[in-house]
Amino acid sequence: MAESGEWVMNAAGRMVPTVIDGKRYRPFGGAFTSKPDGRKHAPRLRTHTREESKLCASLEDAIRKSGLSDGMTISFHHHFRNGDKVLNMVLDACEGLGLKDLRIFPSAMFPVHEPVVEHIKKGTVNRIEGSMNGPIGAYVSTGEKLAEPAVLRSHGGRARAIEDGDVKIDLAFIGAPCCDDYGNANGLYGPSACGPLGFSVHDSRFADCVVMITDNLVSYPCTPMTIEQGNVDYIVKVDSIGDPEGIVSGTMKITKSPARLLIANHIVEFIRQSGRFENGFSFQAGAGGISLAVTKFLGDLMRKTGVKASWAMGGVTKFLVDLLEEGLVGKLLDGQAFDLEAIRSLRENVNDVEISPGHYANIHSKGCAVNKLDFAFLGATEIDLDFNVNVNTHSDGILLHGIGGHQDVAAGSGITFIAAPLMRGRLPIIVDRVTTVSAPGETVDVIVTERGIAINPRRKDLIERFKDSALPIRAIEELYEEAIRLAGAVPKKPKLGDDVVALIEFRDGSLLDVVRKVLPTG
Amino acid sequence: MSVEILNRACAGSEEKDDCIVAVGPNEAKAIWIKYLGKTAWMFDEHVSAICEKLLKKLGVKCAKVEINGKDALDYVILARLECAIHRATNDEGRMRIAAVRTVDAPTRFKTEKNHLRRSRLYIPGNSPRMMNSAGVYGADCLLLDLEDAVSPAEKDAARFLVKHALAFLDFGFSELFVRINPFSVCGREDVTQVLQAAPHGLTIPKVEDDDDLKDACKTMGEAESFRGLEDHSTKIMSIIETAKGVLKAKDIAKAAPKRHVVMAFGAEDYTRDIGAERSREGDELLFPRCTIVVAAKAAGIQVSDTVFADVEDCDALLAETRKIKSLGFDGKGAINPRQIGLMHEVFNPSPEEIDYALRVMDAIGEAKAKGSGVIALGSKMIDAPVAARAGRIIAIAKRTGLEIKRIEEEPKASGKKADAGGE
Repeated sequence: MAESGEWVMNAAGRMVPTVIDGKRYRPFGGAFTSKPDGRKHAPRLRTHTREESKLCASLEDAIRKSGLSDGMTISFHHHFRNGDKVLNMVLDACEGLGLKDLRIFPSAMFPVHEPVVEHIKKGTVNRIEGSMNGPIGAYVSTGEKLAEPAVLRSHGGRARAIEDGDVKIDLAFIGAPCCDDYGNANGLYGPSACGPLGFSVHDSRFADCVVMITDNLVSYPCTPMTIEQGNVDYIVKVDSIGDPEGIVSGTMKITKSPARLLIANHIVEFIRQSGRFENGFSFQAGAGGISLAVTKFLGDLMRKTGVKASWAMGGVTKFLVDLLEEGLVGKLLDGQAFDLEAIRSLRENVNDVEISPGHYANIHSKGCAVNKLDFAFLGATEIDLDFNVNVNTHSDGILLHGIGGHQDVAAGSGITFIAAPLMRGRLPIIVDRVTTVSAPGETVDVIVTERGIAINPRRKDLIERFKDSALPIRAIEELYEEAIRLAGAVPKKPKLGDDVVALIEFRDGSLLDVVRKVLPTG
Repeated sequence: MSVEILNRACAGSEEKDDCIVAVGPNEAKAIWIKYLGKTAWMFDEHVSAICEKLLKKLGVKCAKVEINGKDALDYVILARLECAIHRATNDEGRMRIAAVRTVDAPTRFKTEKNHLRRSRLYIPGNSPRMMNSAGVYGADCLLLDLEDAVSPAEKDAARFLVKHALAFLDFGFSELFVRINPFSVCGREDVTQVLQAAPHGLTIPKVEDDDDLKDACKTMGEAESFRGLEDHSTKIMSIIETAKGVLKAKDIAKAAPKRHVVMAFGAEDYTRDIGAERSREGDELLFPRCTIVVAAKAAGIQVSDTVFADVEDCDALLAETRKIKSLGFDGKGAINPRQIGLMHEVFNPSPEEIDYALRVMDAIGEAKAKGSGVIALGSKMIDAPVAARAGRIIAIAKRTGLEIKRIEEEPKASGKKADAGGE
């Protein structure tokens, strides 16, 4: 990378370039050091008359009308998860229209998006800003270089990048389960119902052009209006935008793994003893196996003690809905729905409230919801002795996941737990140095494994509070040594090339880490 | 003296955390090792080195070894390798292997007759997945099972796996028992292999009279001296699970007094033996339960109840555990780690018991300070068993994080709780 400028060590101890492809980057300087100025980005002024129609004959027709041209940026939401048909459909249409060198800006990608790899090879797409998942991550890590490194951001970081104008969206494609002919839309009804539609709210407000793609055109006005007509340019009706099987699971099941259940038990017991478990507390739940178990066990504890939570944030699942409907949790701030019960709840419960990632986690705002959380439980592929967490790459260096809300929740929450078994197979989860820093150690408080709990030494309050606890509190170094003993040896590190294939942005837009190309191990 | 690899043989499975090790003759007259799997490259040199070391110990000079399965830990790979070699050689080779010590016994806490045994968790002897984390659930006692949990074709594999697991894994506070097969099957081989790794004890299944335990004692004694272990260091847990065994419980309990520390009841086999149906109320089990409790207590050893089979039904587990505690049992068998906490909840000392234990301890302290040999609490004499019990209750309370405090007495209501924890 000749044009990468000088490399400096950032506050997370990682070497990062200051210039990449002509764009200046601020090295990460600490989790709470960002001092933004200037004004928000704004979309163009438009007008619309009574005689005009927003409905387009086809997706191609909408793309032509939008004025999309080579090299532009197109965005997508990921509410349909592995059931999404929109991203592939749009790229196929773009290819058919002969468009080249597009930059895609999805809020996340899934294995269903594997055809993106073909579109990169054919030249339709040449840059990605968004999560790396499965086949696309593997391609970006090992295959041909993209025109610019991929950029990975947290949910809050993506909203910030849009509002700050770091990423200017030329054309936002919004898959809408329920939409009227003027562009009002929500995710609550229709064959591709997905619950909230919050991940497309910023795209709709800040993109120069917005195209709604729906398989369920309803009569005007469509309510609730998660997406509002005043932001929408065109509407396309297609046969199907999502596969319900891939969008949500029918029922989510709690893990049966005794080790994972033990980890969940440890977290709930830690919460009970933390001094913050009192009426009005709040927590962030997720859909991972351990997270579901924590939610359930926390409900048991609330029932037993009579302590109630004022609110919880999700990743909403049946487990969280049950707590809401039982009155154990006052309100849900709802960013994503993971099962059918969650969708039902958002339709029926006034206290289940849809929010956008900006509301949830944008650090460049006058307050985001993560700052109001007492507890959050998150996962990791690796954790290091400085409590840095990796969720993006595996120990083999290959890009695997997006950041999700991880960085945001870790920074905001009163106590952030990272829950993970000490070993994945024979690979230690606790390592001397993570392959990639996804969340800096200063934002992570407690590591919970089945073989012990490590408290970040920065949290002197917690260390003091738990010094006589019967919970298995241990130094992270001890857990590391035990992991290495079980592994038999320190695993060899992957061979990495000089090419930077992806950037890990911190939620404030600074550069937290870079991901390098993985060379064959032979 | 070398062990010849005569045919191709495999050991292991494709289950999670396991591996398949295949060995075969090598025409090149050398050791050739290949470690396969997606992330095998991260550990290939290490794995080759530990395999070569084991082959050298066993006296194998030429062999082709292929290891498939990236998630298996060292001990699993070595156990599967040892088993595959065992299967790939002849009787002469097997005799030589049996004489070799392939693992070192790790240092463990020394167990005692009165070790706390509220729960004993069964771990299938041929399952690395269950074995890996067996030590983290806080079970008082782990029972690594070579008997009912292992199919006849895999008896050898399980024996090697349990041996290597005992040497490699850290089982925390849990006391370690290995349930061997009856001597009529392959119990003797189990004893000689497993004692290399010095578990705290062996569990002898289907004991029907005192001779069964005397036989076991003899074999254990021989193995202890052959492996250089302290005489009688390996304890015995017997399991009574037939009508005959119940009738002989009195004699069995008294047999092998230097080893026998706990007698357990196995209800599944027992009901089958007497031709009864298991009921939810468990009336059919009342007689054997009481018989075994009395036999054990008369011999001064502990007694542990049968396993609870329905993992989902926590309420029934709690009810049954309360019931058997009231019959005099010291603990119960668990088949899933989730059951352990519930069992401990029942067997843990109550606040009243802790209060009483603290008062006993205070009385002992007072008597010591006065230089008095007679310890009294109110009008009651404190004898050695009461003192020991008080100490044990405080120790359990500490270990399980219970609140250790005196109960504030209401004015003029004193005296009512004095007997709460007494014996």
